[in-house]
Amino acid sequence: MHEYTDRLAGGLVAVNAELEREFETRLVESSTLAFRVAFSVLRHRHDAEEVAQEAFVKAYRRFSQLRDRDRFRAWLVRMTWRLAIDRRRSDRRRVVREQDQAPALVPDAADELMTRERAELLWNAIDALPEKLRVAIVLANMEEHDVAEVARLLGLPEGTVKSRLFLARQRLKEQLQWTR
Amino acid sequence: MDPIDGELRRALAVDPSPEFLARIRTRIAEEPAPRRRGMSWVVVAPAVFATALVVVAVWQRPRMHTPSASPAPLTARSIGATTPLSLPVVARSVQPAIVEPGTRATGTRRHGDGAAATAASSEPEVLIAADEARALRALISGVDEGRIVLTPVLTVVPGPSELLSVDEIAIEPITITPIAPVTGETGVRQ
Repeated sequence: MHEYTDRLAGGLVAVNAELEREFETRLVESSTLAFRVAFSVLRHRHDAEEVAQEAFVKAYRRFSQLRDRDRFRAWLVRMTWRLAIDRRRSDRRRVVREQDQAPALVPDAADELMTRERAELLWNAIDALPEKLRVAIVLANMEEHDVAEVARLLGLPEGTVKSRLFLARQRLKEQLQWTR
Repeated sequence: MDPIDGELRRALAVDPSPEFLARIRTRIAEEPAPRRRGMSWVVVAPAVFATALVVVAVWQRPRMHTPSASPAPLTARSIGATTPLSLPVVARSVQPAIVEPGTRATGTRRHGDGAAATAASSEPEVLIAADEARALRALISGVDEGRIVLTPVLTVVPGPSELLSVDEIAIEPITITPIAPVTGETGVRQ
């Protein structure tokens, strides 16, 4: 009996160690994705990190059902998006949004100011999109995702994603008056 | 590439802080280890097995006490017989008789009846309460050991010698007298 329980305990420890290793792999390869998804909604670095961290904790609790890579990333993206939306709705007091731009892209103060203004206009236009179009256009411009990858992440047919991307770009153009 | 996409890619090219991964690992370390989904059988299987055992045991319990063979038919015996009487008795104090589906619940049957004899195998067994069985065994053993004398009880019942013989019954001959004809005219009320 003791031998059986020892073997069982040893097996469980081995299984847990294997799960831990797999989760670490998923964490390393998907952490930036989760952060960027949260940032696209919140536009605040600290809040985005908190939301992404919360999503990873939830993913860890359910990791036995999310071991497949595609399944994990899709679940993580959707969970992070939902948590970020909830966070934003519950945090209406926050007015100032971080306009995050890499310093290397800004050679001088005038260019920086213009870039910030353009980014602000862009985010305002994205915020005005319906949620279905917004998540599609954001994911399509993140980490070199193609239509197939966006469709996998959202659990939608590629044709649906294509039409949503088309509609999103059309509305953004209308709002931003970018015809070039 | 669409200029909007280019702007959006630049806007989304934001990396988390260097401590981001470390914070997640620290937070995850506080969580209990994830369990493999398929390992739940380790807990569930013994529980299901134990439940099934209990169900089978409860279901089989009345049948384990029931004799497999049909009970021997009761035969008339003299109470005063010296051999101990063994009754096909199943002592039950509270539980009601178990009746197989399709059998009659009534226990009355006539000896010598062919139909009843063939149906005897499908009859429910005769059940006697435990206290009645004990009392009956005590009576039989008491008679065997001489502690109980049944003679006074048996003498109360008139024996065959006291019955009247047929010869002593007097039957008087029956005389039939003819009915006298009615006098008077026809149609006259008597």
